[in-house]
Amino acid sequence: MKCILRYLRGTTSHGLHITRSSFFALHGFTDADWAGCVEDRKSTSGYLVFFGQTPISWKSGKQRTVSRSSTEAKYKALADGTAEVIWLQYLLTDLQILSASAPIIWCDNLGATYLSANLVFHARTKHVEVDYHFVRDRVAKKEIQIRFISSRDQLADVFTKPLPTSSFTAFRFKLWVDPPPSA
Amino acid sequence: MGLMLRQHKYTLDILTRTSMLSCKPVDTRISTSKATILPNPLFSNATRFHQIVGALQYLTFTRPDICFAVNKVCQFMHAPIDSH
Repeated sequence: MKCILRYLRGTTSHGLHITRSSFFALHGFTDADWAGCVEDRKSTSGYLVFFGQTPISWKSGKQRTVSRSSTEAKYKALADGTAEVIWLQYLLTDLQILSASAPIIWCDNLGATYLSANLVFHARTKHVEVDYHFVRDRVAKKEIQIRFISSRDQLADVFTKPLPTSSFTAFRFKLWVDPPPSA
Repeated sequence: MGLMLRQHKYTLDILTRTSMLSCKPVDTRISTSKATILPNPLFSNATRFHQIVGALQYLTFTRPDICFAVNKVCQFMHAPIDSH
């Protein structure tokens, strides 16, 4: 905690930078740190949702159950992210902001990406809870699209694990958390 | 160009309340080494820990960069130890 407060001391004037954009679409990033907790080996999931260029929703949280593979952990994170994106999409529809294509969710695990399209790797995923497969339903209904992204460009990484300073600073820049422009 | 959404005063208030205004700033919000688990004594003032963590949660609204670290300390609400 002391570390957070010391970090805040150095960045008190940082804030979220909201930029003007003509691009009205949702896109999300989801990631998980598999078995990240040393005590009970539960994974940490994180998601980040952008509206246009601006991040509007994010979460970091420990998963409730233990995952047996990184694909499973990332698939659970994908389920959390999907729920958030679907909700935001309903909200935008209510506000009469319609987008032409389904929101894209970027996931850095090929296994989880395949799993969202079709139930593969059956032997290793048959224990995955039924409710997590609601991601696949949404993809089948074309309400969302899941795409693969390399771990290096995975913005939700920062919500799942501690990072060294250099990459943390780079992520912070991409999250639009900046110091105010100097006068 | 655009808008800047920040909680500058709120951040300063938290730092004032925790007497951390004169501390040495660090570049990153959480150490990359794993937090140690058991052999630490319990933090003497759990209520204070709860208050600070509670206050930090409201700061994640404009600071996605500390979201992970704040969630991490939240996981120790029931038994804060000195190293947290």
